[in-house]
Amino acid sequence: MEEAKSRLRRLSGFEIQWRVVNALVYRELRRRVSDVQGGFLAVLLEPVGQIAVWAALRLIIRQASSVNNLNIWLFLATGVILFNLYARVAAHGLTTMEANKALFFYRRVKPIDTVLAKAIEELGLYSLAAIIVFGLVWAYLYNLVLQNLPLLVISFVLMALLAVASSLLSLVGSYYFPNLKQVLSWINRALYLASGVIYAPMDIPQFARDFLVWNPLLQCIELARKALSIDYQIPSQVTLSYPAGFALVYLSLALWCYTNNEKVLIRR
Amino acid sequence: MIRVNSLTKSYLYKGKRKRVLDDLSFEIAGDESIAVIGANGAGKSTLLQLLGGIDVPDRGKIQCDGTISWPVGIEGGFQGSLTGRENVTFVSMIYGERHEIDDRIKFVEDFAELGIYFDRPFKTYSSGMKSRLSFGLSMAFPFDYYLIDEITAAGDQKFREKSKRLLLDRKKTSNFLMVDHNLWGLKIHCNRAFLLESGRITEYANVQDAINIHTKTLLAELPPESDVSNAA
Repeated sequence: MEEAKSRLRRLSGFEIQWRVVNALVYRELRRRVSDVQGGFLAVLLEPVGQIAVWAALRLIIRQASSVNNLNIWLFLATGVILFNLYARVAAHGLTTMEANKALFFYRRVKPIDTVLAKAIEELGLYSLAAIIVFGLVWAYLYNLVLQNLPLLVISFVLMALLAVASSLLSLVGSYYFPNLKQVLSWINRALYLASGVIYAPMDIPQFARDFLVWNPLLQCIELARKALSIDYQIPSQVTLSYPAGFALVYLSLALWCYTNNEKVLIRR
Repeated sequence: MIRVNSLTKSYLYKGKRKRVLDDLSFEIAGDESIAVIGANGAGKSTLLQLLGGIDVPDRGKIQCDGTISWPVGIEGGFQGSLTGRENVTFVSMIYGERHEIDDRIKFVEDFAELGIYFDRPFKTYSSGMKSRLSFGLSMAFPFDYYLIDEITAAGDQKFREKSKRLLLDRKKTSNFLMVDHNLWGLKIHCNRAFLLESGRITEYANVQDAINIHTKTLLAELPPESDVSNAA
C-alpha cells in the first residue's frame, strides 16, 4: 500500500476557497454526467425548447423573422439563455444548505463555495449552449455578425454576478424565512416577464419601458443583443455602467449579509 | 497545540435550550492524544465536531496551530450517484496537493479493497464497503490531529485489524482525539483523558484512572441485579 507522503500544508483562505470551488465544480459536473435526467443534455435542451416555442409563436402570430433588426433566433437565444443562467444560480441558494449538508463535514467547505461553484458551472454550460445556438444560426442562416464579443462576454459575467448575489441573499433569507421558496418562485416568474426575454423593450409603450429599464437583468440581456448586431435598437437608458454598478452594490450587500450569517448557517 | 477557551454549546430541544458543553477551557500539547470519555449524550461527539470546525460554539474560542481532520469514518460526505473514485477525487482536490491527487486515490483504492466497486456508484455499496472507503479516505491525508469517533466498531474482523494497524502507524506522526465505547482502544492510542460529565470536563493524566472512574459511575447508576431480573 502506497503511503500518503507529505504533511498537510496550512493554506491561506484564498487557496482553500480556490480548491474547494474547483472540487465542487468537478463534483457537480460528474454528477450531471451520471444523472441522465439532470445531465448536460437537459441544460442544452431546456433553453432550446423555450426558444423554439417562443420563436414558433412569433413566426405564426406576427410572421416576423426578426425582432428590432435582430434575427428572431438570436434575439430569443440571448434572452432565454441569459435569464435561465440567472434563474438557476439564484434558485440554488434556496436549496444548497439542505442538498449539501453532508459536505459541510469537511470544514474547508463553506456554503458560499457551493454558490460560487454553481455560478461557474452554469456560466460554463450556458455559454456552451449559447455557442451551439449561435453556431447553428450561423451554419443555417449565415446571419450572425458578432458585433462586440467583449460586450457579450461581459453581459454573461454580469448576469452571473447578479445571480450569485441573489443566491447568497436567498441562502441567508431562507434560513430565517423557510417559506421564502414559494415567494421567490413567483418573483422569478415576474422577473421573466420584466426582463425582456421574449420582447424587445423598444417595442413596448414608453411608460412601461421607462419603468422596466431599471431592471438590471433586462439591461444585461439588451447589451448582449446589442453585442450581436449594431442595428438592434436599445433604449437610451441601457448602458454598461448601470448593470455593472448595480452588480457591484448588490454583490457587496449580499456578501455583507452572508459573512454576518455564515456561522449561523453552519450551526447544527 | 490546541487551545480552547470558555467553550459553550447548547441545542434547542423541545423549545428549550439544553447546554451540552459548559464553559470548557483546556490545552492539548502538540504530542498528546486525548481519550474523550463520557456517558451517552454527554457531549463527546459535539466536542469533536466543534474542534473539527464542523459546528460552531455559542461562545468561546478554539485555536490550533496544526491541521485537524473531519470525524474519521463519516460516510455523510459522499455523493451517492458518484463512484468511490470520483468521491475520493473530490476530497483529494480539496485536501491534497494537485500533484499528489493520484497518490491519494491509489492509497484509498488499495486500502478499501473494493475491486470493481471502486468505479461504481457509492449508493450501491454495502455498509461494510462504505466503512472501508470512508476510513481509507480519512487516513489518506496526514493531518496533525485525527478526530476519531467510534471507528473501531465498524466493519468485519479483517477491516478492524487493518484499521488498527493503520491507526498505530498514523500514531507515529499524528495525534488523536478519540471517542470510543471500546475503552481498551482508548488505552492503546491515548496518553491523557477528558471525562465529560454534565457539560464539564475533568482532565486525567492517566487514561486508566479516567476509565475506572467512568466505569464505576456508570455501574453505580444500574439498579441491583435482582431488580433487573424481576423487571425482565
